[in-house]
Amino acid sequence: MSVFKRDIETAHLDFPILHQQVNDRDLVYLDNAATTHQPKQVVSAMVDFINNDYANTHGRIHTLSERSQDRLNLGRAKVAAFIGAKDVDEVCFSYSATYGLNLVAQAYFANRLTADDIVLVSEMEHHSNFLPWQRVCEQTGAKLEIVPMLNDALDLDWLEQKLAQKPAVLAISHVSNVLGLANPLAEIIQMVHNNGTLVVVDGAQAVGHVEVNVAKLDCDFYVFSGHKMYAPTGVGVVYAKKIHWQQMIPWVVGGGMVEKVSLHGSTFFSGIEGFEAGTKNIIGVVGLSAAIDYIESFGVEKIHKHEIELAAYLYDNLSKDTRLKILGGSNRSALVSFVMDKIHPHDLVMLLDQQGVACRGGHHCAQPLLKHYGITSSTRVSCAMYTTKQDIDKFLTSLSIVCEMLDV
Amino acid sequence: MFSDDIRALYQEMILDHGRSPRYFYELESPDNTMEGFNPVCGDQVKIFVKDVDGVIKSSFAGSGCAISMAATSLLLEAAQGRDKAYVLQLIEYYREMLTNDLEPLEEKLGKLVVLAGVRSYPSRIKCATLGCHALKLAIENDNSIVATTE
Repeated sequence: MSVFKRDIETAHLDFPILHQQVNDRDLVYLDNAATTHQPKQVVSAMVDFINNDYANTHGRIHTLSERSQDRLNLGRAKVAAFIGAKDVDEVCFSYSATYGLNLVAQAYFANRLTADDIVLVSEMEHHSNFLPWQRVCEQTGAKLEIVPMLNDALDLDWLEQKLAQKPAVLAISHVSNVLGLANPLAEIIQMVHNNGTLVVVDGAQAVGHVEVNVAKLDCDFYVFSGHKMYAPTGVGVVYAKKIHWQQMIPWVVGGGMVEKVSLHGSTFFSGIEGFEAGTKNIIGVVGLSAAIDYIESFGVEKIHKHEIELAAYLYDNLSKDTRLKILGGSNRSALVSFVMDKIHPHDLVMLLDQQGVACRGGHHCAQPLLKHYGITSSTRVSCAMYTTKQDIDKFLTSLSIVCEMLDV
Repeated sequence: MFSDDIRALYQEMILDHGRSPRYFYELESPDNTMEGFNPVCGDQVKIFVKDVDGVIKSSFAGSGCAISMAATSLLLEAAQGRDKAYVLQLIEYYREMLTNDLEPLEEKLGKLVVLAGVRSYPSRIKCATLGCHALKLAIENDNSIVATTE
């Protein structure tokens, strides 16, 4: 890693998509919690790979196959180092955070939970880290219990008391996609592990935005997707401790994960290979590798600092605005969600879009959390490494213009 | 700063009905109710209908954007005191207005013509039809399903 990190203020120049007009205005892209864009370095890495080295990896059967397998292995090693995994064999490629969380729920927990077990899911989860647990509880008879919100954060006293009942697993997000709140994961994991409960972390909003070290965190499972960290859609990662991979039963079966197949039964690879059925998204892995290189050319620490400064600037400005109410407290990473008394998020987002400003309105796939706040939708403004202070200023100006037009 | 199309969409009458919807209460002892839900944005509406000597009384509850609230309010206003056949025909005219490019006829639609601008914004058509789907099903007395915009 070079000690000469790049200046983050210039990052936006690497993203051609940001430099265009939308509805006759300069685009201001503030929907980064939904997906981030890909810098030209990521795009050209994938194009180079497609033009020169791409083939199916199975068996290293010819030269291109060999090259593709090498890229896949390199990608795995790069991801492992990036998230602080002890071993490359703890990193399994999947397709999205949603797919990865379903994999963990089905391949590990569906086979071992019983009607005597308790599954804990936090109230602030994205549906992707709620529905797989709801389903696995329906399948096994295990009891689904919700770690409730207390004001603007999870009620950790409730959690501590609940641990006396020896829950089997806690599913929790690293960073909330609605509140931008980073949960105190290290503290939570230590508390929960003391009790023997396993922890599954949804890191979709965290990787590439905050420092992630799975070994230091000591989490059992950590799941994320590439497309929220400057890589393309369709590639994701499931990290699990090696001991857990050894105890999992293949969930999706097919080519690439099987040892012997006969008409009477088959045997599967053990470890991560047993969980990568089918032709992998090799191009996506090449993109993810390039995205990690790109992030590291700035450094996660610098990116994190940049994003929280922008979010704080946004928060400070919005918190003075009496027309709206911000969800959550001032402790936040890269985003701010809010509701307005007189303008519904769907109307606001459309009118901001007319000003060239892209942000998200709706329930953000977190209906239980929104219910905690007594609302059905909110407007979310989310930053990335390429967001600038000027972007936030343009958003604030556009918000005023919309309010003026609607006489609010 | 906004186009004429957008200004037309958020014109006075729509903002007024969006903020102060008419017939916005739960009808007592309704003959039928029907819920509508837009899973994309979370908008929800519940329609109440009651047949009083061949005349349909209706009301609604719920929450949603200016377009969905105003559309439901204006539709119920236009439907009050009319019989079942008239209301179903009105719904049909309204749906036609949102799905074709023809000049909307005020004699058929009354104030509902203000919603014609929605058709320039495909993402908002579901907002404008949420209440109308639910009203149609409520009147047809088919409460076996929840009306969704999907």
